[in-house]
Amino acid sequence: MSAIYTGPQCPICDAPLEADTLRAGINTCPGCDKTFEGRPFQPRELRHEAVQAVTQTPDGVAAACANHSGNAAVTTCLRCGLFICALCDMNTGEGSFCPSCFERFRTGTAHAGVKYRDYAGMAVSAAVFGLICYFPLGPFVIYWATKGIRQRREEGSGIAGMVVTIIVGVIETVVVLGGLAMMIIGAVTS
Amino acid sequence: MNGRTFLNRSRTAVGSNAAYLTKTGIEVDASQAYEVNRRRVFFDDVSLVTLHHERGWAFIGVTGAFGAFFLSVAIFLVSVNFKFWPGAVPFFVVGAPLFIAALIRLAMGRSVVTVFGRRTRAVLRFGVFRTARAREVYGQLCAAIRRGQTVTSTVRESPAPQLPPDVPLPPLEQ
Repeated sequence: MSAIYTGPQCPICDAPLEADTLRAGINTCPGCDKTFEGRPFQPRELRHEAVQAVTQTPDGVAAACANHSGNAAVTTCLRCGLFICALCDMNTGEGSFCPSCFERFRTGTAHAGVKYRDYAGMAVSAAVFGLICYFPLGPFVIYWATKGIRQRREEGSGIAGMVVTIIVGVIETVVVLGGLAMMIIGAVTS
Repeated sequence: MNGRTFLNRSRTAVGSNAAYLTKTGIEVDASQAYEVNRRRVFFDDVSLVTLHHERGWAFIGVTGAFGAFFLSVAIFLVSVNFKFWPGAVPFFVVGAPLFIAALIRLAMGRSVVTVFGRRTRAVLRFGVFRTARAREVYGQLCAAIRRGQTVTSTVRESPAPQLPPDVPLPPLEQ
């Protein structure tokens, strides 16, 4: 992302938009004068009170927030471990961060998103490559497709494609092993 | 089970973006060289949803230039000597679809739905012939966000528990 995201912008020119100038229907960007259809919403203000004390010391006393000594901490920052109250809790969906760590994520190169490897895509590519090039990738296809199935189950996606990929991987393995066996038998018998 | 509903997939020059609707928000999986980066925009954070059309000048420029190049080679070969037409066919087969794709994009544009949250945003780009689907997703998202924000606004907050006054403070560093 080239610019730091700070809130609603024009979807065409990325100029910041004031919330009170937006209305449901056709809007005109004051920056580029182009029109777009929009629907503004009023997101609820962030909570200004701690909800409950979930972080407890052994003797039953709630830990205080590092930034607001009057508030009980509800969690700790995933990055620096600071006790934080609900007011400071910058929950990104992947965990809670204190405001300063969240600011580092937002302005720096690091980001608070989830990254993972696409094993399903790797399995399909390996299966296609193995079929075209007659390359012994069958075991890799099976391994990656198995991991891909687990990923897709966790996401709630369908696994039919992965099952087909595993079958292709098994066929590739059998063909390659069969070819090797034929070569060995041929060498031994001759 | 996450229970995600697939909304849209769009290709970029370096990968693809898949958007899903979940119970609490929108998830966008940006895939690049088998690395998937998942970002979320929660319904209770959304302040604006927009729908607009764009041409995508980078796509039109690159695709149109490649298409025009291959087509011009094919035309050049045929114009030098018509007997060379078998040699011109591969250039025509490669160039014509690219050039036509660029022309279609130039004429029709494509629909883009953008969801702006407090801290993140999600951009859903739809294909040239999927304008109706873009509008459907736009309506679906608006309804889900309205519902999500109504639900969260009815949740009551409990007051902050006051700390007892005799909480031992850590010793000052010397």
